[in-house]
Amino acid sequence: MSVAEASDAALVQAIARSLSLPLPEPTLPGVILNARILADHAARVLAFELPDECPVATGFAP
Amino acid sequence: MSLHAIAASVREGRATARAGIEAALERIAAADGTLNCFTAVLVERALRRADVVDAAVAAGKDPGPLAGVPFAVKNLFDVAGVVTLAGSRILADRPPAISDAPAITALEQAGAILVGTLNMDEFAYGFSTENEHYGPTRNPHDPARIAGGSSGGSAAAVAASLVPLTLGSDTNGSVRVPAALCGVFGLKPTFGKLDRTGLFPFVDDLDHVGLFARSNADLALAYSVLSGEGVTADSEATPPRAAILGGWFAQPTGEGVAEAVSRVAAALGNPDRVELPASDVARSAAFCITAAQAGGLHRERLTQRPMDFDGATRDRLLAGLLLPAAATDRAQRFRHWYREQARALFEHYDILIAPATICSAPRIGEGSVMIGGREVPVRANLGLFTQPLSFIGLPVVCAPVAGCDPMPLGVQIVAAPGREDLALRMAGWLERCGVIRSTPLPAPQGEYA
Repeated sequence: MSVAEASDAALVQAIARSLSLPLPEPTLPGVILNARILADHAARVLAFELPDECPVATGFAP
Repeated sequence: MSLHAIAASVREGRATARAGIEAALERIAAADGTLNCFTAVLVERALRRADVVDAAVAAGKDPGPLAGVPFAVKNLFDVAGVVTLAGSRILADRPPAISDAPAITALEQAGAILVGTLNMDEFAYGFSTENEHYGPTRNPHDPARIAGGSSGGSAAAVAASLVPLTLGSDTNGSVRVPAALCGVFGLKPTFGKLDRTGLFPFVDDLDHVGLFARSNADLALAYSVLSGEGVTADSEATPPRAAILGGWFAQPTGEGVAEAVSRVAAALGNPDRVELPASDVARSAAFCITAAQAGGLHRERLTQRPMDFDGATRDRLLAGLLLPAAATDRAQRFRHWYREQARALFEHYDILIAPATICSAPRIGEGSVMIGGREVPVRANLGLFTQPLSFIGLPVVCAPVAGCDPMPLGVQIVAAPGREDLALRMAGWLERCGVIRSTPLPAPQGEYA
């Protein structure tokens, strides 16, 4: 395991502990992979510049 | 035979519903060992219901516009007396549902007859219906290939003519992807249009009820019953105003995809190409909302029985639980902005045309495909063109493009919110032109004959 991978694993495990979420050992590689994919998607969303007044659209129907 | 023709023959006493149901049950028994569309076949219930329909006809009553039409539902719909699996092993321990989902009741009140429940990706989180617990659903056009998902059983059952009508659900493309890969018609109505009561949820902000059929007229008739709207597939001399979606929707794709869209564009006189801006962000936002909400929904099960999940589903759900709220909050705000971009396009056009998938059905177990000279993971990318559109709840008819050989491909016919009528009219016009039609099955051959 590289330093970066070990760091990701430690971070994922720390967050999971804070959520009282057990992460059985066999799930760790898959969770880390999916967390990285999601992090890329989240970064794209967060980087998009929205107008200030743009409201949340939770539960919306167009 | 069309839904209208089946119902007419039963209503006019030229055929019995019982004979039609028995024939459907025989088709299922003959083919489902190979295709694996069904997780339950409801023989007694279906025959009992058929007798009720036949008795109504004998008594001079009209059983309804879908009299005697056999149909089946994705196994996340509640069916009285059947455990609602949602493709999982974990839910198999729960008691059976005590009543039918309202969508089932609506079809049965119109005379249709439920014959079974259908395979899907676990908890609807996937695009391939390679279910670890119940096996893969195979594509009737080539059983070595996936049917698409998550409503794979629903699409394959219609493509193989086991039943002429099925229900599914669509959160990120789960009606449109399998409809395209199996060469049948699929409709994902406007978000909120059809009642989701009695469906096991996936993502509250994105889940839609959808349906599959072998023709646009069948789709329109069934949707009309479900929605209570008097829509038809009748087309006028001229099609609605259309544009082709470019930008994100015109990126490199697998063999035949761009050509399929071009054939539709040519039939429409090569209309304007327009862009729905930031569709890459829309897809990412849909990813974030999906993972976070689905992770939250399954948190208790993930805590108590993590190893009873399909491994791929479990790892995605666990990752979703780790996503910071800042990302999903921003994704919801972005949704508002993106919806306004779509609304602006619909001020000029009635219909937007886009490809449905990046490629035709991959082989079962195939992890990646070559797109534009680049190897891309297949499962995550099957929803590349569907996710931005369901993200803002737009109604979409997914229609099979004629002449796509050997495997089917589909196009999305996208309308403004609440305008399913326009999407169905456009599909009717294109069907009449011969540009779209259900993909005929090849003659059985080889080990799956």
